[in-house]
Amino acid sequence: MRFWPRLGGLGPHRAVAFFGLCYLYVWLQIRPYLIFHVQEPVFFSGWSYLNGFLQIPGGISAYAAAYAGQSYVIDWLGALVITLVMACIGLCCRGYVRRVAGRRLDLFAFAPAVILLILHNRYHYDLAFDLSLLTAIAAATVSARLDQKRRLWWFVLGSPFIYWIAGGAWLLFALLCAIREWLDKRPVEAVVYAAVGAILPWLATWTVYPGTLENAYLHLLPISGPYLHGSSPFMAVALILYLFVPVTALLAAYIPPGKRSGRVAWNTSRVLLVGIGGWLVIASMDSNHRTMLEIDHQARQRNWKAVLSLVPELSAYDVLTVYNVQLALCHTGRMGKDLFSYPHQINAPIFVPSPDSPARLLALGDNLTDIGYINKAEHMLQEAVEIQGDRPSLLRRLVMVNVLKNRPSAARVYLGQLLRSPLDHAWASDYLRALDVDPRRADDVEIRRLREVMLETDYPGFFSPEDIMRQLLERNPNNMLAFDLLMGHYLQTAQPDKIVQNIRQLSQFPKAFPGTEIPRLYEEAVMLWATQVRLRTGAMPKLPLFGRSLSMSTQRRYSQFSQVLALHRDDPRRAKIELAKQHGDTFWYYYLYRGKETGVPVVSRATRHVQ
Amino acid sequence: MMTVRSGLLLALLSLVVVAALTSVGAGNTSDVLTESRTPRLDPDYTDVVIPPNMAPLNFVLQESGVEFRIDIGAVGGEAQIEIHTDTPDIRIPIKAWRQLLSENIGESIEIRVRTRNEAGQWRQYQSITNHVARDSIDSHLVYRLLRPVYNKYVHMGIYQRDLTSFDESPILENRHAENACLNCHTFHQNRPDPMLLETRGGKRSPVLVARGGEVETIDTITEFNHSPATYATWHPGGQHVCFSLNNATLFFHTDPSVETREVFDATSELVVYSFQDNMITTTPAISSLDFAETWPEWSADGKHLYFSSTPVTPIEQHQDVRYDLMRISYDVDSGQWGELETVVSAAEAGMSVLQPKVSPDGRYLVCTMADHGNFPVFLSSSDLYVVDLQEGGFRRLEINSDEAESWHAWSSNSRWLVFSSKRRDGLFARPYFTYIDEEGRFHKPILLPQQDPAFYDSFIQTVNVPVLVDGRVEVSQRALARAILSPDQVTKAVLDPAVLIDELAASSRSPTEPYSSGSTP
Repeated sequence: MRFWPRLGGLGPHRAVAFFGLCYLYVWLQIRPYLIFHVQEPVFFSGWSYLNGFLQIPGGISAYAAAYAGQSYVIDWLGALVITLVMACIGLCCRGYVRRVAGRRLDLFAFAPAVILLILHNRYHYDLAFDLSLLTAIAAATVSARLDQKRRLWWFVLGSPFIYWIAGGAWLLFALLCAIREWLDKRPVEAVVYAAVGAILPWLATWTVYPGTLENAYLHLLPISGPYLHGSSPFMAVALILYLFVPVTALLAAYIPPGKRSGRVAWNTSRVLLVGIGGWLVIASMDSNHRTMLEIDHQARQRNWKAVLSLVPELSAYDVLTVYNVQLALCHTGRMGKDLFSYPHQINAPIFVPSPDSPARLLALGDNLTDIGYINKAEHMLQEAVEIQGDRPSLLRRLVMVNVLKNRPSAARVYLGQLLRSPLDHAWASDYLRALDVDPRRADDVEIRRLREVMLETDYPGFFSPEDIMRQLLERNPNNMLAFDLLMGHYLQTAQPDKIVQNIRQLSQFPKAFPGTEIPRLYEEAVMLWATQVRLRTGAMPKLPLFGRSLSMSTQRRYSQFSQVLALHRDDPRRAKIELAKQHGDTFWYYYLYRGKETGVPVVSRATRHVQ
Repeated sequence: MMTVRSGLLLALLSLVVVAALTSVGAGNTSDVLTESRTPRLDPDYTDVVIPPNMAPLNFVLQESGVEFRIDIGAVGGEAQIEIHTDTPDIRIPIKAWRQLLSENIGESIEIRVRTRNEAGQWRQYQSITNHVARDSIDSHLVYRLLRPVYNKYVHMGIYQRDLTSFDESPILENRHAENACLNCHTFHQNRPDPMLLETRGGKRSPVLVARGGEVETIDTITEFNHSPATYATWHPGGQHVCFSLNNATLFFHTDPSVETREVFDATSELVVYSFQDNMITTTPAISSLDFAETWPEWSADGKHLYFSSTPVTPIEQHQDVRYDLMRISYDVDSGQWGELETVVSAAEAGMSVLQPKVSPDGRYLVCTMADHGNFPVFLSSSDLYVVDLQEGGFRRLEINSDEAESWHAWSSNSRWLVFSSKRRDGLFARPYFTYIDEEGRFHKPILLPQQDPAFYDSFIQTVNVPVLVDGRVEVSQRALARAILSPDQVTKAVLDPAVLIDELAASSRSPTEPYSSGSTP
């Protein structure tokens, strides 16, 4: 224990406990597999891949992070990697301040770890930032341990390498070295170090780095444009992290230590600080956002039941989440019954929310593949590759698309690339062997299914969701997914007449719609349509049910709905409130109260689970 | 008891056994099976004509085996290069290769291949014979690398490859220019300097001209042309460039047996820019309301402008769009335009005639022809055709495949043609070279060789607009990036006062852009 690094004066046991807690938090709360789902750090073996990173400052940190990020798929391992990096940053922070200010920081040595947990709570925070920061602080800590002459050599000889490894965090390294000199009462050296720190990136743009001045200074600093993700609080927290060590070092050097309090007071203050830190970390976790990520993750794995089971945890949702939930309803055969019991869009096509964000492109690509709209799926997936890079999850999907398009040679090229990815090597090898046996992969159940439903006729141009479904159903009237989406589309765009027109198609799917059954929401649409016709013509129309019948429960419910509506004829607001209690999940309620707006409400008015 | 006789017999038997065993390991020809065919190579470098200054044609031997011997030398002569390996990835030593080619210019060389299987059996294949051309190829190839792009673009770059080695270096990667879109690069008479590069990005879409290490930024937008320049061709005099201005739409097919993407030009026009006057000019014959003119190309003597032209058609009839190959005379000194002539009519060809490229010696014009449309790289029907400018007539080249061939360019000596082909997999375009001999025969094309013979098995980018230049492009990335992002000065082109806008295509005044930056915020 004598040689155990004493972290903040807490001793090895408490240090282990602290970082053990951090580890558990990262593992069980942040869940590295969700970080992987969001970021999917791309790593390929081979010189050509590495070479791209060597061309830019900070590239080496990014390359190392990409490699280390592969560990995220194994939750506990990813958590260990992140925690180790955080612990090293904490160690170095403490070591630096101890060297320059001659004081141990006690609990404040753990503050960087707390800040890093807050940043990692946002799933876009890249490990590359951590490695870049670690490089800078570790190099500064090493420098702080050297004598003045060696410090100079370290700075002169090490600066180009540290800059090229760390990128923007180099500025912090230079600042910390300058502070070291300043506190050693060498102001001239301090100014020189600071000046070199300011000039080196500029010099790089005139010599080895052809990029912009902004990138030369700020690459891999989480305060620059590309990393902000539109969040000022995020930038503020990141700034605090980077300024923590220099500010703390100066404060520690200039503010004399107070009298040591009694043991009880001392322990109380520690507990208080730990508590505050813990509260900050927990409070900064957006658990709703995490649930939405989990839903997207499960949806991409096609665990549709898991998707639906997560919905009750939601307090708000975005378009992508709604889209995933609706796909889950489709795939579990519940669209016709539960569309309005779950988050849904208002007055919008059920299908294809506009692919404004890269995350939607993958969801769209998957759905388009599932229904057999292969070329459009290829379009979405290639767009995703262009925006998000050569993510193996995208390349795998393009393998399948190219097999479906009878381009096995193109599939092989994607597989060739996937052979270089450590996590995908085995899958790619197996797939290549399978292609050797049969380039059409008739042995693959999913490919066989898709060949039966995929569009083969050319419809050049741009088409509405309804047109797309109709094209697919013309190709194969047994395309259940396409039918479900089409009917869901009619429900969500409030077209009961179109529901009625398609009741006869239910017989195409005897397993999904056995006997004389009609899904509840379709029944409700039929009844509403009949009422509309009656009001218009004065006569009740003959219901085109093609041997099917409306259930007594739906008829009863319609009657109740009508009674409540009639009761509050003069008070529409009251009617709406009363109807929401028992009938909020009906097509009738949606039809009446959807209003004119479109899109996804932050909270669904109709969904019982969410208030 | 062993007699002397038995002992001798035993010794003799032992010797025979030992000799047999060692002969298996050493490739004893007495045990070699002779195959009646040549070995399969990937890339297919069999019966090809090789530039005498090209890097080694490394290949993957697609024959099974645990041991491989490759001998390369003059036909019927001693092997000058011997490769003995346990991997089918064959990498030819570059020095020995260069020497072999230099000693056999105008002659044939052969590749002899032997393989050994696990049982120890050797196989000898029929020799592969390739010919070393007398005519060198230009030393560098410049091209754009990008992924199969749809509406969004983020990552792309212009690169140059030294064809005598495997060195590839970036001319400009767009990550250093805020992910600007880098469009077509054009050179004057195959020289690396000057270089013209069209860009897209933000509110500006400047044309860059790199000369002597300096980069000039030119804004070609005038009151006539609001569209940025698309395809360009340098006049042989070096003082003029003809641009096309295209109103392009990207639309999509649903038939999985065809390329998903297709480009439709609602309209397009041609303009000529003069460096001397900084002036843009045009004439109704190449900028009419009723026709879409595109794919300009100057004749070798600079007296004519070739281009593709079609009547303006609505997008719903895109399948019926076919371009004629036209030409018009133009005197760059006086600014006089001549009459329009049809060189190859779409009706005559039954195809759409696109991308005319005239050989520097003026003898041939190679174009692409596709069953319809105007963007051949997306059309699998696109093939290379040659028009004999001396004797007239045109014919389909034998070097085509079932996939799209396009983006061809001549070498400075008119002996080599580089083009992009999707023949390997139908998706990624790769650069191929074909030799044109004195009889005008286009020889079997060779794929750009790579140091890693299996390179193309995992390269998920497409090679776009390959162009041959006879030296290294020296302008720095920094200078090019600065010229896009923060040019010291932007030269604003002016419209020739003689151009009467009202007479010309109104549609060219409406800027459209099918592509947009996909950079995430």
